[in-house]
Amino acid sequence: MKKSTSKKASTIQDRLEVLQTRVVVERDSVSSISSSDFPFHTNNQYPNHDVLERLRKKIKIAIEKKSQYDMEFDIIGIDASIANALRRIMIAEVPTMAIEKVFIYDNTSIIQDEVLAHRLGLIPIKADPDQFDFKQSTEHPTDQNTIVFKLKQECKRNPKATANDTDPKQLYINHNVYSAALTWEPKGDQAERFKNCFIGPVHDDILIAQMRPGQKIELEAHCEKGCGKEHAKWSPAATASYRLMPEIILKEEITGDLADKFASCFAPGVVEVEKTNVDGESIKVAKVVNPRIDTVSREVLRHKEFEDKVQLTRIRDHFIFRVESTGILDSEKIVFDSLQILSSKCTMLLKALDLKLKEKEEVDTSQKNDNAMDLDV
Amino acid sequence: MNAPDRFDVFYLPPGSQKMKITPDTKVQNAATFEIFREDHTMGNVIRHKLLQEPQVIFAGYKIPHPLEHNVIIRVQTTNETKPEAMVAKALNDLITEVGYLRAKFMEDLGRARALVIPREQKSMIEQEPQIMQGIQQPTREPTNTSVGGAGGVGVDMDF
Repeated sequence: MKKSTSKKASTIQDRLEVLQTRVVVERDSVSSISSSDFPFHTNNQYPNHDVLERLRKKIKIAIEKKSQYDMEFDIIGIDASIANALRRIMIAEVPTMAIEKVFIYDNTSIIQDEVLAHRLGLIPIKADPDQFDFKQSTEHPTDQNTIVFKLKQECKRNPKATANDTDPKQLYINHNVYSAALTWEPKGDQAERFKNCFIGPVHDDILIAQMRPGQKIELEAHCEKGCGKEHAKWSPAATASYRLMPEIILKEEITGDLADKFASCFAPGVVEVEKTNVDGESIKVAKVVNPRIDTVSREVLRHKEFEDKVQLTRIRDHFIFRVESTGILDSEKIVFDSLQILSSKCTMLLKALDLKLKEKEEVDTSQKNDNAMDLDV
Repeated sequence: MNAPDRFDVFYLPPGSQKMKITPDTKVQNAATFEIFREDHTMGNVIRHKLLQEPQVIFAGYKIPHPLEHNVIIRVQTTNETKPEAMVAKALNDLITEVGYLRAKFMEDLGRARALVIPREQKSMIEQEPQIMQGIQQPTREPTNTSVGGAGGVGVDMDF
C-alpha cells in the first residue's frame, strides 16, 4: 500500500481535516485523539443515513503479510470500538481445546501434582474446536466434548553409561518428559471422525517435567473446549494487537544537508533523501517513503530546525492488525471467527431485546384489560 | 474459599434474563439497559453505534463493578423515537457492518495468493453472498429514519 503521504497542511481546511482524521503526536503530548465521526459534529450532516452505503465508501481491508500462523492486515474506515472489540474477541472469545482435567495415577517426580496439571493445561493442543461441543460442568464427558490423552513415563539408568559420564542425557533414559509423550486415546467414534486430521500437542518439544531414575509419571488428561475469557490457556492468539498507521506530514520541503539530518531522525527506510534538479543544480530533498515502519519516536520534534516543518500524525481509522496464532488455529481463522462471534453476539442481544419488548407489550395489554374491567364495574 | 466461579464471566444460569430495561422516571425517552454477562467488547461497540444515530441525544456505558460481569448502557433519544428502537437499530447496523467486514476480509483472503485456505473455509467463501443478502435486510428497522431533532454527541462513561 504505497501512497503519497507527504502533503502540505497550510490552509485552514487542511488543518481542520488533519484534526478530524488524524491523531496528532506532539513533542510532549498526543492530541486530537477522540473520533469526531458523529452526526452534527463540525460538518458531519449524515444526509442519507444508509449504513451499507457509508460502509462501502469507507471500509477497506488489505492483507499485508500472511503465513499460516502469523498475519498482518489493515482495516481502514472502522471505529476504534469495533477494532478493539475484534481484538478482545480474538484473545478472549475464540474457542479452542485445552487440557482441563488431569487424573494422576502416579507421580513420584519432584514436580507437584497441581503444578504438573497446570503445566499440562498450558500446552497448545491441535484439534479442530468446531468439531467439539462445550462441556457444561454438570455434563459427563463424551466423545463429543472431550479428548483424552495418556502420559506414562518412567526414568531409568542408562546401562550403557560409563563411569565418567556426567551428562544426564548419557546417564539416564526418559529423564525428560516432553509434550510428545502425550498420546491421544480416541474414544467412541473419534478414531473414525478424526482419521484425516491430527490431534495432539502443537509442539512435540515442550518440556513438562524432569525425572531421575526410579521416578515415574502416569496420568490421564482430559481436553475440553473453552475460551480465553475463562482461562488464558484457551486463547488461540499468541498476540493479537493493532496500531494506527503513522503519517508524517511535511509542511515545507526539507532540502540540503538538513534532509540528511531529517532522514536520520526516523527508522531506516521511512524517509529517503532524493536528488532533484532545480535550475541545473542538484539538490537533496527529503521524501517520506514508508511511514508504515516508522516507530513514531518523536526524535524529529527535538530539533528546533524541524519544528514548523513537520507534523507527526497517525491515521485515526487505519488499523494495522497483527495476529499471531499459538499454532492451534490458522491466523485467518482466528480473525474470521472473531468477526463471526461479534455478529452472533449482536444477534443474541437483539433476540434478548425482542423478548423484553414482547414481555412489555404483554404487560401493557393485560394492564389495559384490567383498566377496562374496572370501568365496567 | 469465597473465590467466584471461573465460568461466572460468561455463564448465565438457565432461566435468568440476559437484559433488563429500566425506563428513566424523570427524563422522557430515556432508559438504562442492563446486559448481563457482557463486557467492554459489546458495551463500547453499542455505545459507538448509538452515537452514530442523529436521534440519539445521549449514549454511554459503564461496568459498575469489576467482579460483576454486567454492562449498563444508558440511552436518551429525541421524541421521534424510543431508546429500545435505537438500540435495536444500533445492533442491526453493527451486524451489517461486521457482515460487510467479513465479506471484505474473505475477498482479500482470496486475493492474497500466497496463502493456503483449508477446505472447509473455501466453502465459507462460496456461502458468503447468501450470508450478505441475509444481513442486508435487517429484521427490525425503525420506521422513522429522517434526520433532525436536537441530536448531539453524548459523553461516554460515568453518568
